[in-house]
Amino acid sequence: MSRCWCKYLLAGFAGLAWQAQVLAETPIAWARIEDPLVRAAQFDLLMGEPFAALTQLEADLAQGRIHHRPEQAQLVLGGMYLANGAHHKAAKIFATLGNSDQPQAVRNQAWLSLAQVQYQRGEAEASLASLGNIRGELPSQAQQEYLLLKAMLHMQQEDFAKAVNELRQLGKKSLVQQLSEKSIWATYGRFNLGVALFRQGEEEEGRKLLQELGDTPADSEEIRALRDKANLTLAFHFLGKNQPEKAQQYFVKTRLQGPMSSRALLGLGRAYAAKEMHKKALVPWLKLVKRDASDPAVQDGLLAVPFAFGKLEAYKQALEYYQQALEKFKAEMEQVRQAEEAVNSGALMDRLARAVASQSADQRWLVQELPDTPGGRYLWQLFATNEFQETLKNYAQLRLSLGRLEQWSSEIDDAKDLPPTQRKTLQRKVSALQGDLLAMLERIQAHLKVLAQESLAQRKQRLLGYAGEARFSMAQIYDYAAKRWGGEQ
Amino acid sequence: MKIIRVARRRFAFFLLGFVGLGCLTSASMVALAEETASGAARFAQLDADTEQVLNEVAALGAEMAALEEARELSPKTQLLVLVSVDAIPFFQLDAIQLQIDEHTASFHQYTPRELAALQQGGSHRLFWDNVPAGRHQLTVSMMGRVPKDPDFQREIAMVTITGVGRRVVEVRISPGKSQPFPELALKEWK
Repeated sequence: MSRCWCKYLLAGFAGLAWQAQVLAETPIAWARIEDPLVRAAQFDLLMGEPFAALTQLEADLAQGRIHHRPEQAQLVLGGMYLANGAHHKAAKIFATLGNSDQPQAVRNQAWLSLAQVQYQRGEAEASLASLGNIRGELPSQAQQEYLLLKAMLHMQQEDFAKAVNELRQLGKKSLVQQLSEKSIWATYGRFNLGVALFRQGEEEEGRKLLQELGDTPADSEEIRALRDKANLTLAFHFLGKNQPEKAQQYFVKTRLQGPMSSRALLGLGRAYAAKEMHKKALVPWLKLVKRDASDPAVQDGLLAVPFAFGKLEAYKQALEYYQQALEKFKAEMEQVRQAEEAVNSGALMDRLARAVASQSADQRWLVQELPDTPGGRYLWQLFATNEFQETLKNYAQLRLSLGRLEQWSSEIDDAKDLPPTQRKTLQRKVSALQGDLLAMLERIQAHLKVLAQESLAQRKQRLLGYAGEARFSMAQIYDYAAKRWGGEQ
Repeated sequence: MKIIRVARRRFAFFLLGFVGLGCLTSASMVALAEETASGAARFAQLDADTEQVLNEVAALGAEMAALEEARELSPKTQLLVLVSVDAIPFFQLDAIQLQIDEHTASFHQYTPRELAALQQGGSHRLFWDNVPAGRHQLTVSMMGRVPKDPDFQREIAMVTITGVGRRVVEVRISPGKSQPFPELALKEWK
């Protein structure tokens, strides 16, 4: 199995992680929630007010107002804690419900929800165990989620035979039809099945599936990106197997503007180079090196271009392009230095804090919305990691909570009709929580800073390595030129 | 040719760099794994501690919500009117009006996002306030659109008695027997 293949499998996992996120954050879809107060809280949640939804439902529960199917209220409550980022609490509610004497349908839904939370927290074995508690048939959408989650877990544990089995069930016509063939679930399912088949050694079947996906007409950016991913997966697979002709067919199918396009250009050049067609390899590589040099694929391209000139014995151009690469690496190192400065001086955290403060309560913290930071291009990869995103979400929740406490504090002050003891108790609670929140905010800021510093150090190391490569190759060319022409001149 | 051989070796090297795993020795991989494990533990602890504080804030939030309600609304004369909408093909709800004893108590025009929340099983709080103790007539008017009738309207009324405890009334819009025209129903929850 080639290493580039591993890389694209990881890209597949990133897609799966996205689905897990979707699984975990979608409010539980009941055919009908019985109690009207639970439905009213659900409305708040669906309107993007998860905190208001949670506190109102908790208040209704505390006052004993939920009289109809209270087990549904517990499931909805678990979903609300999840929407507020409280994974542990949500897991506790789902586990209690799963182990209760509720009807099997309710327990099944609780086990499925718990498994989704556990998957998101990286607890693969616990998640599989929770799924194992599900008995009998699930409603069709829940069944799809169940099969996909199980397949993702098996893939994570590198048990591809079992993953293929689950995904094949997901792909059964009767199930897929219920979501429609074009649903993103079914499409991701097909992609993952293709990847799993490859890993299991059933290359022909995997290739057919990915090829079909790669040729699918796409009506959304999401599907187009997945189509590119399928083509790129096939292309790198064949390149790894030293079949550049076949690889080339799939590289050219990848869009020139999509998020995968730089890798496709690099790969296409490699396919030509593998066939000793260095002049042709230069076409995609020269296009590639005009792009943003913070992209690792572009950095590879910066060394690939002079290499191709070297192969063509055009040493003057090779030297020129190595020199150009060196200059670009130097400029990029300056960008990294600026990013380090922004991180160390606290400017990055200040900008993040301002961006968080300007967000409305229901906005999910998205990587696209991060502030423009000096050298920020070098932090995008870090921003896209689950750990950074989750920490940032926690940071945003803490800031929002701090604002709520301030508001409650003034409400308590204004409530002249409150008995003095109750007022004092509430004020004490608010003040203690404010202290706890501020301490947590400091810890999170320190953690984000460490993450950013570690990430930048890695990027710097990579650039230094590339610069060393370029210098070494230039020295080799000078050495060769001295030996070949030195005596004649 | 030496240069080309060297260049080929170099090229192979940076291609390994491209795939991202080439230069790791087994020792450095072990070190990296340990570092990742300790980083994951550090993150898990931070995440758990944050959640604990946030849950305490949520608990206080529930207490504050109950307190606010107790201060503003009497438990005896409180009336809550909720709106629920079932999936009805070719029908779009525009607005709902509530009259209490022929006085408009609430008029709400629904946004696309609110309609989506209703379709997904949420219930909208149309009215939540005190109503003087006694017998009252609630009249609900629904305005919407169905094929060939962009001004589709329905009205329904019921009598409720306030002053004897919290009242919860649900306005339910569901598919009518003669589809695609929806039906209005009122239900008082005990």
